[in-house]
Amino acid sequence: MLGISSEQRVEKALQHYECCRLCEHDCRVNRIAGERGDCKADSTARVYRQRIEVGEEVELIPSHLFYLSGCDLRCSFCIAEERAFNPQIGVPLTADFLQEAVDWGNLRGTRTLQWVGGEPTIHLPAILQAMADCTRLPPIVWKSDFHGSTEAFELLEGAVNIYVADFKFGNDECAKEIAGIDHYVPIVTRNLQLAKSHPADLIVRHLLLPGHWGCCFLPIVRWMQNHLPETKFSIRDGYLPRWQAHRDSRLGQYLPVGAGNEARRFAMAAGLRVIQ
Amino acid sequence: MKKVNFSPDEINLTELEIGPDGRIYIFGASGEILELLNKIGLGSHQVVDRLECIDLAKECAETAGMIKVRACDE
Repeated sequence: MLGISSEQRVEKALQHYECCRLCEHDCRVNRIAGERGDCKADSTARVYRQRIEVGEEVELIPSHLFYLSGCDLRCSFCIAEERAFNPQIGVPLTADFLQEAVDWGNLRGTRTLQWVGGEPTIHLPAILQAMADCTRLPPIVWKSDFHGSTEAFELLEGAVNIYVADFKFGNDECAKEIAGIDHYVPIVTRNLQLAKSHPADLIVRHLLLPGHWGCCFLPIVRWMQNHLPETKFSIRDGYLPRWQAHRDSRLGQYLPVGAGNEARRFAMAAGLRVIQ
Repeated sequence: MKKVNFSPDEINLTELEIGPDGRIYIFGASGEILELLNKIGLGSHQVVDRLECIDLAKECAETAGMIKVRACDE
């Protein structure tokens, strides 16, 4: 959505709080009137943590991360656990809050501001509204599960500088079993193509999952090879068996030593643009 | 502007977990944690790359006259 004012963008985004179609659950609930969709979020976005981090991709750091509570997925290995799923946790996101935090971060040399979760897409209207009233914003990073609707991506076009897309699963069966969602691959790959067409940078990130090399990692590499070979690809190997992961024989394990480097070598041999 | 209360504990929090085989997992890494790891000989190339970025960011901020203290001093 290019060529519109930030006020118009915010106004259009706020309509989703009355009939929410921000993510592919397509709940169409009135969040202002008290209805709740799958994410359980109301019309207030809450920040449960904000801090400067240096563990992200090198080109993003130091990055000022804003963690919003609430998520549209329920990944059984989620490291954020309750904070990801309970949208009532945290401090309400307002322009005043954001401005003070941004100024604090700028003084400390942050290179980027990053929206993370939970999942920021379910709070897109509140985020756009807060940003519209702020000054001195550094480049905006949108770190997302990419389960958003096309309407959400239209709203994001021109509002963010860098997408970090979590490409979590390489097939619909694993997505259904682990995150409880349908049609995962078509949705995420559609959104990756959308993001690629926007005037923003794109980093595709994959967290290696124990026991999911053949079913998830390899299909993702193949898809990237066929569709986005020039796009930055970041392989993360910091998997920890948290939340409900212990219920699954594979997800309850740690990654084997060297799995990250092996995956990076494989992806590079496949011609992908692997970044650290 | 209304004064916003940040929680210093949350801002400074870096989560460390040591796996059963001794591997150290770091989440929300601060620059200080990476410097510490590097000083005690646990700095992989990933750590070193990131430390260089932090130094660069500090230099940029200092050049711009934006920073009077070390990056994460309170």
